Amino acid sequence: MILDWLAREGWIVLSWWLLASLAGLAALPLCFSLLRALPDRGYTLARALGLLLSGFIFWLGVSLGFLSNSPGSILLAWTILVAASLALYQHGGRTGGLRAWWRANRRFVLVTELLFLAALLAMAVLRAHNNSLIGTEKPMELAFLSSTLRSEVFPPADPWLSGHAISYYYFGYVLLAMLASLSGIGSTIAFNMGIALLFALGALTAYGVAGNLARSRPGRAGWRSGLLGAACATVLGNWQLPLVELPWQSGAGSNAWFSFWGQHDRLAAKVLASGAQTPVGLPDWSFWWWWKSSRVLTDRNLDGSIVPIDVITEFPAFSFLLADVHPHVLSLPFVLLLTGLALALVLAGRPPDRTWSLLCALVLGGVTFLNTWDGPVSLLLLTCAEGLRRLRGSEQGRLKRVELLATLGFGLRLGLLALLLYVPFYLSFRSQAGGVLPNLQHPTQLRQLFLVFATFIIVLGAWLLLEARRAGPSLNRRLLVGVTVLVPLALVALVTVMALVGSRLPDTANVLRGFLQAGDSMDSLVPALLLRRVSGLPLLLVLCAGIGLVLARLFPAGASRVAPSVPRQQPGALFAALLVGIGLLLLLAPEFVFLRDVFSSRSNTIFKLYYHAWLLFSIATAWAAGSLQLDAGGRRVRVAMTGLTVFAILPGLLFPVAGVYTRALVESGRLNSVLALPLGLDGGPSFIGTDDYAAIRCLETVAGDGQPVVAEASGPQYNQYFGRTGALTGIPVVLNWEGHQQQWRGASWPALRGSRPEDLDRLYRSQTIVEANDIIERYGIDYVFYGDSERRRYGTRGEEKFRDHFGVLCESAESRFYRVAGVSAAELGNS
Amino acid sequence: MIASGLERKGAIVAGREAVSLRVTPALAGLLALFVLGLALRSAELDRIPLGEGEARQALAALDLLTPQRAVGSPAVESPLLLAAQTLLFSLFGSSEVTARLPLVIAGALLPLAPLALRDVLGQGRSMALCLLMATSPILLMASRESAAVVLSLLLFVGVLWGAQRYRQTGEQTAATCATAFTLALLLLAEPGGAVLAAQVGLALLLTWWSRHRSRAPREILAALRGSLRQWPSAKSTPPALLLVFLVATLFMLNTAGLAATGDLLQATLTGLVAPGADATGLTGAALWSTTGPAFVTPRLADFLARLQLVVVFEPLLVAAAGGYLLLRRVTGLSDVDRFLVFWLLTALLSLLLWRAAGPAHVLWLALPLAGLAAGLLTELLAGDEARNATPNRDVTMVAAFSFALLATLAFYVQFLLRNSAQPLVAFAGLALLPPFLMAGAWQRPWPPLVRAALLGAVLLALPLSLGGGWVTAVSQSETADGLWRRSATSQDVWLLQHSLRALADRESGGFAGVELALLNDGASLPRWLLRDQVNMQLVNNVEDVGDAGILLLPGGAEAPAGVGAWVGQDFTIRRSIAVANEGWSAYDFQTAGNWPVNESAWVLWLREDLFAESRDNGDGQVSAP
Repeated sequence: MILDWLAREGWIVLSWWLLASLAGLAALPLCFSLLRALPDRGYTLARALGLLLSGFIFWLGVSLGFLSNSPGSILLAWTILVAASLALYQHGGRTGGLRAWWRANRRFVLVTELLFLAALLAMAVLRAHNNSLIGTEKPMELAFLSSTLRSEVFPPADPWLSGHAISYYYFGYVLLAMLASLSGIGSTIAFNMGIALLFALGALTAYGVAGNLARSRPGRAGWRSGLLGAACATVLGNWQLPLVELPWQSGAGSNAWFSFWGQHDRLAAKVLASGAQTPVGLPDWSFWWWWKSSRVLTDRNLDGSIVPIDVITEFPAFSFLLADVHPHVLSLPFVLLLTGLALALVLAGRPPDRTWSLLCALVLGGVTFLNTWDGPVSLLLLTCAEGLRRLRGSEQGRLKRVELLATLGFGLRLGLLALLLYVPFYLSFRSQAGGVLPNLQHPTQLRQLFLVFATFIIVLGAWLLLEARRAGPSLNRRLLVGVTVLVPLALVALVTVMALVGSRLPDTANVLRGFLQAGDSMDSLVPALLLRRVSGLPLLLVLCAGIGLVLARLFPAGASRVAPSVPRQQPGALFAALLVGIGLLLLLAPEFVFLRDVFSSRSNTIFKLYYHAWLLFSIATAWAAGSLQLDAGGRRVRVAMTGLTVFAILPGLLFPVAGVYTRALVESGRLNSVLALPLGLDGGPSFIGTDDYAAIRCLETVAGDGQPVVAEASGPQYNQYFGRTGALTGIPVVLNWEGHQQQWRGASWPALRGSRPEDLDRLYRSQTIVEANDIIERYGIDYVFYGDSERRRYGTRGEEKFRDHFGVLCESAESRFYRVAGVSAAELGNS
Repeated sequence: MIASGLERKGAIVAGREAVSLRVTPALAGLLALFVLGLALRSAELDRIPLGEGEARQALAALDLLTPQRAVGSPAVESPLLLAAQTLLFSLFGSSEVTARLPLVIAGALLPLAPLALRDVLGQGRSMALCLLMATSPILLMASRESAAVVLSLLLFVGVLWGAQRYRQTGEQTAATCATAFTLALLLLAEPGGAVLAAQVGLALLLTWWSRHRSRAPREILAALRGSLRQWPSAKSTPPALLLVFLVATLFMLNTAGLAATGDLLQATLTGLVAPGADATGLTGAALWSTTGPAFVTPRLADFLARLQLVVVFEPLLVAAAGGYLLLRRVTGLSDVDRFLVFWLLTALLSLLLWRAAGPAHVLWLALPLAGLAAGLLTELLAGDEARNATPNRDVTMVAAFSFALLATLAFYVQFLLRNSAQPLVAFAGLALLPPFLMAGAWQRPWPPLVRAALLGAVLLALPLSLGGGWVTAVSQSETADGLWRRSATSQDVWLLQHSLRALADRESGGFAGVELALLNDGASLPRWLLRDQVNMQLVNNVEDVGDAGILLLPGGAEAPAGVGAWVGQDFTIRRSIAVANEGWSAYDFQTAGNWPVNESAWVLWLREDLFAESRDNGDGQVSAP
């Protein structure tokens, strides 16, 4: 079956592999020139970098009106990148011979190529088994991708709000649309190939960063660490499956067990459709059981009720299994790329020059444009890496004030430059973010955090303790104790202040007011809020202890300066510690603050920060696993440490195995031959009903280029049966997914919304063409769609006026597109 | 180039360098060649409708000047041509002449371009090359047809000039020029520009290799790398890039113009796997592809057609180049000869591999062939000066007289060929005269007769060759009084435009503002022909015509039903300058006349009420079919 699929669609996989490789080739001279501090001189990062830089040139050219959204312009962008890259290589960065490089990196490079090809093919095969574009936010992502492919200018037209541009971080869709455009495939195939590419690119880049990190230690081949890093960053799951889902699905767990983990929805015994409660095998597990692993944390309000908005604890393996092309997935390889740049900065030892800073700013800006949440964290990482570089060069083992200021200046310059380079995006972007709110009543439970990050907690915890032991007297104990004890105290004090202040902030006060007894003042809630904080103290202490250990390792005590035997010179260990430290900070932050958005909860904040932390921990874990094996003293200890690492990782690998089995075979119906559809990457035909689909494809062909407007019934969020013309073709419809529009456009939404939903209702419900024509003219509608959804909602009477006055442009059974362009004034008058 | 004929006489007058110009015979000859080239290329330019590719390109320029009437963004084959056309349209208005003029001028300049390389080629050979290129029928046709390959060849000569100039003098300006020409060749000229650069680059590499083949490959590579490193790319690239950027964006007046360079790159790459977009006119002379044997694949058929085109139109170059190579077998090939041979081979390879190559791209073959043929001409003219007793002035006078006589004869030969029952006899009889004439004039050493015969044959072939191109490219070539008319295009085009003018007289007070709908089937030519109609509406579907009472639809399309009756008039737009597979040579082709290989049929539909008024008034050309 797979061979048959390869014969039909293998060329698509091959063309995307080739395009990604060409992008990598374009950036390779640049990498060789600027990333020569990395042992592989940036070979493993070249693909991600090439794709991002050519995407930047293309996007900027189109945004400024110099280029058009066409394959030719993409080629020109690629050519510009090649020229710049070669020029840089020719005039400055050329060091060492290629032959010597090849000899030193032969094995590493071969594994790189095999990994990329295997990962691309594997994920493409998975998507070919289950190419569904239905569910969650896939229709929205498909709509953005289609629109980006179709739009003549950037920002692309909003496919679900005619007359307006997308107000979202859309760079990822530009990158995918570039490849789709060059390979000549439509959005419904590009969506699935995009997931495959992001998976492969993520694995490759993680492999590169972790491998280079390991190779910074003399004598290490690096490819094993690289593969471990790639596995952690792309296929490793959390422990919800082994500790909660497996016991529950098999009926082995008790209520006490599930209560301990705080999994309230697993307290009731599993009931099969037949009513029996017997343990069942994987094929009979609940529908979308794997979804639960992304909703591990439970936030409870002061009154004990559960916050209705799920706290999202998604991780990369889950994302790839779900296969949403959402910004956090789109940015994954590039966040790792930026981590690689930070590593190169630390390893280089010399100050970054202008070209280096420009490159960092380009990637930083790109990452921000891909997923705005990643921007500040990435900037923090780069700034800290610069600080670490200075620290390594410092004789005193600490940063002087001047150096500290210079480091901050570097970060500031980088941030400003990144902002400036992508300014056309910011000019058109309206965010829903409305500042930062204090988190007063939702501390995370340590055991729930363990479910999410168990592998990392075990491996990195062991490594940090090992590092502390190896540091011996050079460990800065004062700093360790200070951070572990004083910081939590300070944070508790901060919480007190936050509680007092927060109870007076309109947003938080409105939420808290619901928990007041009659006659009580807001201040009466403060003790309860503090009490709630105490339950989160264990987590606070663990996180602060971790951060303390990292700081104590990075800033050694005075003794280290006279003890050269202390391996503080290992830049890899310092960088890994930095990654752990920043990751822990990301876990700590949502305990106290969260971003104010339309949900008024910390769901999104947890989601995005934990996701980024996962990636940082993945790279650090690859280093830590190697270090536990090499530096843990005697043979027995080393064996024990290896065993510990394996023990920590194996349970996490259950998720991808069971998940892939379920998604590819069970859900697709292939296991029981319920569906005998051949494998395929095109999720379009199964997206909506056959007739609607045929009519929309006809419209796409007939409408040609340009930007007509289509009227369709507007539907609720997460429903693919509305806004389908926009989703499949990128041709804008008047309105769809109003809730999401509100999220994307924040405060500007009410004005943009106007009376669109009501007008659409009138358009379809009215009995006369005169009333309909008024709406048609108001929104510049060129085509009216009357398909399944419209018929269900408005019946057949609403269609009569269109049938009487407009010609049918495309028709498939009862699904019709009516063309309104040919209506004459006389005709309307008669009507 | 022309400045090569200018001689400075240094005299300092009042602190300023006075320059006096003296017209040398060489300069006069070159000017004459240029004027002749321009005249031949500009005759009847507007009589032949634009080809689809020409129309697309011209429409893009027109859309830039009148963005309010622009529909979509037609792909542009040559950003450089677009810039030139935009400039000319803004100065002189849009017409077939102004659309074709840039390439006409470039085509007239190209024969003079070898003079820029006279330090490499030698004075005599460069002059001979000028003469051969000036009489090349393919170059004549290509420049009249707006084939942008002419531009890329001109830029290529510029690259060579800049490079050798920099090598000789070390002038930074020369390096900048060479870099700018290279970038323009790659990004501005035409999709084949990069292919030309690749084939010439490969030919240069092979020449280099053949010169140093006794050395180890590593040494050759090191030497090559060292040579490349000496190029001041850091200084020359930025201004060259800026220049290319400015030209592509029309000095920032059309920022989207940069996208055209990307489209050009795309066309270059897709050309490896797919034929070019335009296949009309000269570029439609696919002789083998339609009538070839079954085993011939389209790629091979196209390639053979290109080869056939060279043999048919440039037999002189083929024969002379072959003769020169035979002659050189004894004395050995020079570096220039080797380069030309390698270029010929890489050009053949390019034509085989790059599917988008149109017949105009056979200029890739014609140029190296001309270079080799020029070598033969130089050999024939050169001799033992000590034994040549004839004074130079006398030789020049006799040569000029002979050439004029031969040219007259050549045209007369064509007349005979068209009308005589036995053209070969007439040709042979006439061909006997020139060798003896030339032999008498030159008095060359042994074997004087053979040498003179060869020289005479070449000189006879030059005007014949030119005549072949002239007759092929200019449809009314025998009516000299009607060659430079302005308003005439092909008959049906004229009728169509006249009908619309008549309608405009009645419907819109004489202004070209009738409500007219044109069905958009992707063709650019009808849009170009109706460019003056300000109220023209482009519709994707016949049903979308709205209130328009006048429609122009492709031949197969029916007028819309349900909005009254319609009356239609057929118009067939023909382009009859391409060759058909009817003969083995240009002479045969002339006897066969022009063959319409490209037609597009259109129907002008009038709503019955408009037609009735038109019939009652007795104006317009529309009649019921």
